[in-house]
Amino acid sequence: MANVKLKQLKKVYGKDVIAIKGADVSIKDKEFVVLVGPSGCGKSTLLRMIAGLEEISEGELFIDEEKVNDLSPKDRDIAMVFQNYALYPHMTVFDNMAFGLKLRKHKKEDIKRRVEEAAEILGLSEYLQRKPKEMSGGQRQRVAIGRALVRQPKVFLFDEPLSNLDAKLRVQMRIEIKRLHKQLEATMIYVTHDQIEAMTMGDKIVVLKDGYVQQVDSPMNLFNNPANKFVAGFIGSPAMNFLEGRIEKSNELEFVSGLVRFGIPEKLGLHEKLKPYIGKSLIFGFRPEYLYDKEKENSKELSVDMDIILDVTEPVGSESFNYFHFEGQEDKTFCFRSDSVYQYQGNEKIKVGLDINRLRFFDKKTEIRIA
Amino acid sequence: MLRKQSIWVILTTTFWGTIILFGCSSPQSNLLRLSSWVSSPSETELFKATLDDFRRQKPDLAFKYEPIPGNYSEKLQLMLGTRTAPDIFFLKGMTAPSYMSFGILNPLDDLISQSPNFDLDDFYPFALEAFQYEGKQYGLPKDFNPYVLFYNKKLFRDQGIDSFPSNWQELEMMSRQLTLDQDQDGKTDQYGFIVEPSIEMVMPFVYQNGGNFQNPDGSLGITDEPFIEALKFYHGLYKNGIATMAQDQGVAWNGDAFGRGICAMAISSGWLIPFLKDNYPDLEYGILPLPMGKQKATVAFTTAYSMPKATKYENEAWEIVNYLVGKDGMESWTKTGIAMPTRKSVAKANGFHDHPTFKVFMESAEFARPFQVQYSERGFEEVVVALQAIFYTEKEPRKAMEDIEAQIKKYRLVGSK
Amino acid sequence: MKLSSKQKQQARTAYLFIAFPLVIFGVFTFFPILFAFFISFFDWNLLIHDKPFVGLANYFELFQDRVFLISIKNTIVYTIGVVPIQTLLALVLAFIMNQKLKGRAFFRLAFYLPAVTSSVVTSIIFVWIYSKPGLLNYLLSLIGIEGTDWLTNPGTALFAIMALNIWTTSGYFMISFLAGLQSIPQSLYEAAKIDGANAWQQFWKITVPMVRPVTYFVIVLGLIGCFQVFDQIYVMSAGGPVNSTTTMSYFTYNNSFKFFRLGYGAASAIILAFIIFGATWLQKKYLPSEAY
Repeated sequence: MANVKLKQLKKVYGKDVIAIKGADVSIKDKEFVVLVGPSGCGKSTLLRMIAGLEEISEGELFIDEEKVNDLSPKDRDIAMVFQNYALYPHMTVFDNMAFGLKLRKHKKEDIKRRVEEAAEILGLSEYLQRKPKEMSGGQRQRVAIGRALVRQPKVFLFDEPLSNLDAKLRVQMRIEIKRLHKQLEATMIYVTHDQIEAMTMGDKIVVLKDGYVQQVDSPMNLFNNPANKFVAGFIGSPAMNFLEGRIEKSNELEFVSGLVRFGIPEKLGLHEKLKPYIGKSLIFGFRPEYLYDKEKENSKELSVDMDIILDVTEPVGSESFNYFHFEGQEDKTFCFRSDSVYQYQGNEKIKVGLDINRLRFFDKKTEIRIA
Repeated sequence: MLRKQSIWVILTTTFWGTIILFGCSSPQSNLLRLSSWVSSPSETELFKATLDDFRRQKPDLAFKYEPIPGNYSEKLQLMLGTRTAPDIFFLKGMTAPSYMSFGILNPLDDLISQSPNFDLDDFYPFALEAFQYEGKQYGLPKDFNPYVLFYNKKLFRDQGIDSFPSNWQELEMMSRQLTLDQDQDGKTDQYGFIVEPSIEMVMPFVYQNGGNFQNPDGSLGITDEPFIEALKFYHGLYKNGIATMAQDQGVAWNGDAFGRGICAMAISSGWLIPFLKDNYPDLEYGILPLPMGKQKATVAFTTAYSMPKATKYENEAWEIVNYLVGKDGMESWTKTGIAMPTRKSVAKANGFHDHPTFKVFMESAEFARPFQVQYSERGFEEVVVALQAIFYTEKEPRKAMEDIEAQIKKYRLVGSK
Repeated sequence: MKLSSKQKQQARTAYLFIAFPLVIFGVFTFFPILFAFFISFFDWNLLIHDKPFVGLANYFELFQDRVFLISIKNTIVYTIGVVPIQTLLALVLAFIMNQKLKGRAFFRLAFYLPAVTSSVVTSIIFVWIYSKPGLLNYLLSLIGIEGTDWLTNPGTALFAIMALNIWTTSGYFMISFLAGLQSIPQSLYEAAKIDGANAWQQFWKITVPMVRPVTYFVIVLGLIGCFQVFDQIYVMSAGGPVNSTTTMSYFTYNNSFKFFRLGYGAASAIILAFIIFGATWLQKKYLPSEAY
């Protein structure tokens, strides 16, 4: 069993720089877990703590039910793929991949077999005698993966491995890594700053910000049920729209922000949660993908409606992203998604609808999701 | 654009031109120059005082005294070779044969004969002969210093020795008596004698044994029996543990070891006296002529004033030299006791023969010889190496000498007898 | 390539600027080398007017000169002893200095200081350290070893001077290696750690191959420097005892300036030059200078 458990892991530099503040994560055997977050959130630090390249200041780390806090990297049975590949430039591809095995005194035939197998899987068979400088970025990354592969470790660690590749190659490699994961049935922990990468690759995603774990969940759950405003705004592209406003009670509960006003149906079951906010400010979040032009589209579901004024439309091929503002609030820009069949003009007045199941509310101060 | 560039051209040329001009300006003035080596600060001061005496007598004769620190002979050679040599310089007796054979020194005979009252016969013959070549006089000896035996009066008294070594056997016997392990720790604390692997120290014993480095007929005497016998005797004192060497004691030279009482006797010369006065003023010591072998002999070091051939200021330089080796100049220089006068009259007039210390030096002059051979510096170097082999690696003396005989023969000075 | 008149003018100005330094360089470096080669074919005594042409006689005599042959042997022993040890020591020191240790700056200074101190000064200090009652023997006596006078013992004199030079020059080359070490990405060491390499293995399998260009540089300079060793010999041992520390450049100095034979000395210097050329050529041929 190659599961990984992080219990209250903390990392402190010097006396007062706390890089990781009490991370609790449970990774199951064979899972592909992505650590994602903006720069400086601590995702690489967390990965390096799992690898053993950074000391754990507090907390416990378990690999396969064994506490490994004090074990050196080579004793943890992990392998790591680095962002800049970290290939040994003076060795051939074969020697790069064989290095770890040689150090562990594997038999020559065993080494040859493993390396050749890995090379086969990664399409490197004809490059075994080349040196890294003679290979392209993508090939080098494969060699780095191959080096980890031959070790047959309990856990594979990836530290932003695709960040140095161009966009097209990145997409290709993503698929290859996922394919590899399926083939090997191995536990993989993957760090990236790219939320699209996280969403497409992870079985489970750990969202980090400022050293704190914000939420650990499946991609869909993160998308639909973000724990706080940060996760809501971080996951999904284009980002979720946020509108600050108030809850008011007339006959029923209403959300009011400037000229925007809509009622919140009782049957949504949100009244209990929203009652404390009557007369108070809170933040209303709604995704561009769930807004639709009421004139052009019909929906079976009940919707809340808003009047918007279009600013700019950006066609990206099959769809368009349309930027708008609410009347009376010209300085705030929002976005809704439409099929590019519809061509909008600037300043056009549109009525957009939002499925009532897609309403999300966040506390203004704590940013935690209310409903 | 063109104008700007020509301004730069002018500036550059001026800049470099100035630098070159400054660099090329000759450092030497057109004054007469006198140079000596620098052996010790006290000696330099004394010499300067002697020169000042001359300046008082002849204030119109302007000259510059330029002592040469460091490697005197190498610097002098370079100056002579590039014709920038001083007009008067010190010439060591041992290296005189080389210089004389190269023909770069000015013969002084005419200058001597033109000077009334010079009195060439007043000089000790051995000192003059050291600077003669093919019948001409190329330097005038300013002083000499023979090797004598210094002994530590207190150490002799402590062992109850009231006589002094007058021959080799007595030297060996008394050295043995004076070699002690006072604190019984297995290590000798006091030695009777001290030796050094230099040819000058060995030669007195060779001469006393009737041997020679170079025989009168020009052949090498270093493998002849008298030489080898003397060498074996000298080395034997060290080998048998009754003589030590300066480096074994971690001191710079014999004189220092003697001053500290590490050895009871040491062979040295006039320069040890001011050294002991400055550094070990309480040491009670006496001076004796060297113990005798088959005959009396010692080695004397003498230095001369010489002039380079075709010097610009021949007459003016001669005036200075005339004074310095004249009766007055020599008296003023030697009465400090730093070295002995080469003029018999100066010795007599200043009581050198009665002076308790100096009379031994003068006595030794009777049987002193300059150590000079007609071989180049390389020859000396080979001998030094051979001696080092004998003293440091216990090489057998006869074998050591035989090994270098062929080599030294090659370095015979051209044009020598 | 045809230059415009403006370019020609600029070129002229450029030449004017470097003309004088070039002349000085030519006069004080190139000319003496050529002149030395020239006089090696003559019996050249500075003090004798006659300087006859002797062809290759000086060279023939050199190879029959016992002391010259000893000097070649001494120089080679010296070089073979000093260069490898000094190179390795410099690398090891640099590796240690590159770790985050306390007092790093002090140790860097302590190792580099001898390299920038005058060689004459360090030589004189070491004459005293190596003497019979000197510091080295004192330290040895603390562990029960009785030392000799290191510089007057023909068996130890050369090695004493070699040790001195290794100590002084290592610091200098340590700086070069430090620069080289700092250009090795930290991630390589991390990957090696994960692969299972301990510090020793990291040193030999990553550091050493990756600093190869610096190693090449250090060895070339080390070779050239060692072949020409002079200062310490001149100050400390005067080529002795028994010629055990006579190196080729000391031999050249003696014969040229003490024994009045400039032509002979020049010939020995030319032979030394050829040996250095040969060694450097061999190194270029057989030692790789690139890391990868």
